[in-house]
Amino acid sequence: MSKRTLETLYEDDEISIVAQPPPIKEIKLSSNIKTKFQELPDELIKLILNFIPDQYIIASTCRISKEWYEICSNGSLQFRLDYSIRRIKRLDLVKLCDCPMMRNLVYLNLNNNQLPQRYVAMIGGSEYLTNLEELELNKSKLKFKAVSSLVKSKFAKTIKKISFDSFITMNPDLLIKCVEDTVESTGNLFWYYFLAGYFENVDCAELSEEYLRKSANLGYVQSQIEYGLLKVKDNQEEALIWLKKAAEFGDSNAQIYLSELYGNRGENELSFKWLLTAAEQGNTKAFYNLGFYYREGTGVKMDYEKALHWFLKAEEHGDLNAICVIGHMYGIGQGVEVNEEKSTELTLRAAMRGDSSSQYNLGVKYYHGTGTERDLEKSFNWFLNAANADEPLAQKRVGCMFSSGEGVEQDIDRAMFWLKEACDQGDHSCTILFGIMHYFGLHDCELDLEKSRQFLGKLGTQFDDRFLSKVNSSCCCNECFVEDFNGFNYECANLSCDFDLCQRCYENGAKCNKCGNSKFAKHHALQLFVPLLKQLNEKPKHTKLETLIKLLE
Amino acid sequence: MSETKQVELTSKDKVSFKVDRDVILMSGLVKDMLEEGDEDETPIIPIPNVDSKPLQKVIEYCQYHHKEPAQEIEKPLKGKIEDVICDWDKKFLEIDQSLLIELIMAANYLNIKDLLDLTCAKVASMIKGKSPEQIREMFGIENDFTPEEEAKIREENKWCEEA
Repeated sequence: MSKRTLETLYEDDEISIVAQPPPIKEIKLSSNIKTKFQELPDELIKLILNFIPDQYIIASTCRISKEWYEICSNGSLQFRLDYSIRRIKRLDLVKLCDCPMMRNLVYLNLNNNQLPQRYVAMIGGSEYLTNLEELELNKSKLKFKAVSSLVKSKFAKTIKKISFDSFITMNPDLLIKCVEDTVESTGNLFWYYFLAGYFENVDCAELSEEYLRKSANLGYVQSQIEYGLLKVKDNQEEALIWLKKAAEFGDSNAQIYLSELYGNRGENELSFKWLLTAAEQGNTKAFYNLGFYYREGTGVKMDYEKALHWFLKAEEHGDLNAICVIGHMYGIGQGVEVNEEKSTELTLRAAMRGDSSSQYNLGVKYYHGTGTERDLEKSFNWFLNAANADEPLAQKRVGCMFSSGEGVEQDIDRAMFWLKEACDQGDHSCTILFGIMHYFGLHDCELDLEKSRQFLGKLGTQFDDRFLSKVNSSCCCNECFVEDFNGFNYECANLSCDFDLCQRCYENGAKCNKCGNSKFAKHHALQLFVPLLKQLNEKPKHTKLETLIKLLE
Repeated sequence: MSETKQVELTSKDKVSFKVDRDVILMSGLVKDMLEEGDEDETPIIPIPNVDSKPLQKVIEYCQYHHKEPAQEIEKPLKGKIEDVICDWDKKFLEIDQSLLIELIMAANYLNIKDLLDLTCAKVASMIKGKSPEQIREMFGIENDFTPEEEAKIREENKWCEEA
């Protein structure tokens, strides 16, 4: 070949490279890349494939070379296809059922596809769907032809879950016969569970229970759980037996149900034990509650560090409640050094993601300036956010801030609106407030002694010291642990301690067990309403109300 | 003052690297080997399957990540890998493909899961969205299908391109 021809070829090559899509930045071909790539064992190619969406693998990646095709189609990968949002074309579903690579398919979601029954029958008849474990068919009506083809399918042995929500009633004897044959040939007890689900769907509770019980007895764990849950109401002992069987088998959901059941029965040690087992198995639903058990000392010795550990694990999995509690624990130094800034940061994170109790807590932090600059406007806005999410404590605070004009322009009508919302949700002090309002006929609450009595209950209408001492503080004394004690509460002057005493402990000389302080601020559940009551007690002035305000100030 | 305990790793091409014991404990293989051996001296551990170039990168990775554990990478990748890894990892992955493949094999041999995930995800991210032709060209893989075989597979799987 002449030199000229070689150059021409070389130029041609260059031209053809230019004509291709622009080279990607990563491309730095080295001479040994070919050998290097071919050295990759199949196991590592599988690891790479795990990061590629299944649809790319099926449509493109599998065609790289024979070796790659073999790895992509030998049934060792686990494809999951979801057509519940972008529905699959019917013709494409036909091709899916006829595609050899579908030996890898373990999950197929066809919810919302409203498939006619011949298409469901086709899924059941596919030669290649041999390893399917989960099939979702909600919104497709299932008749006998479709159901029987699923029961007799090539995946009858591997399937673990079929979701459905609509059946056309069919001859139960034919269906039972079909299922019995499959259970006998495949040993897959799932089909009894499926049958129970079908009978439940067509309102045959007795047959449904019969098949749940039958498969539970034979050891099918999901049936043991559902049968156990079915019995919780009428026969707790039997429920315990079945849930325990499934829990002992190692099903972590069963362990959580069992823990709940023991908890409801007051058997806290057992409740804790099963919750811990579920959490140690990695069931994220158990993490938050386990943190709670450690924090409260329920069924286990109180341990703030362990509590924090589990709350942090719950938080890793996006549990908003956990972020909120962790924020609080940082604020008061439970299981960790007090860190107000971190506490505020965590609370802000949960609040921004819409957790209403964190929004309320953040409002409190901005109101008092704990872990952040004091900012009444921000405080009001966070309270308002939580109030809009029906948080009664926040509704009360919004009402009070409207009445005092803190962080927002004063507006008594709006104040009353929010206080009424909190009252309707059963807030204790707001209920008493409306009793007082109706007693004196303040603002737009008409003078109505009967209504007043309904709100005030047995508190009476003297509005004196005794009255105040009967009003519940709605907080817990950190010294004697009495909950919802009456009268004033005494809060450690160092607000970050979040330490409260009841009147009795305060008078007995108790000190804050967090900072050792003996300075306490005196609070009363009705104190928040002082600015409002002052405003409303102008014309005419009620002496009795005047006395009450003075006692509260 | 007690000095930080060290370990000496020797690569396939006989280059030695002294590295803090805490750092290299990220490797499951080294960890197992150290548990068997004497703790007092600086143990010499041969790594006969890994050349010095990838081994140096592995050590670099461990030096950073033994204190800053990597976030788990989603499977499958929804977008580009750059969207889900830290800036340090992005810079770390600015290497040629041959070294990238060597790193996959080194991470696998030394049993460092996070590094294995990172490097495999990087290759996956390079493959994602490209045609088989582009992938073959990128990694120098030979197309051993006959045109008929390739056309058949393409036909069988075409539904997935459209679905």
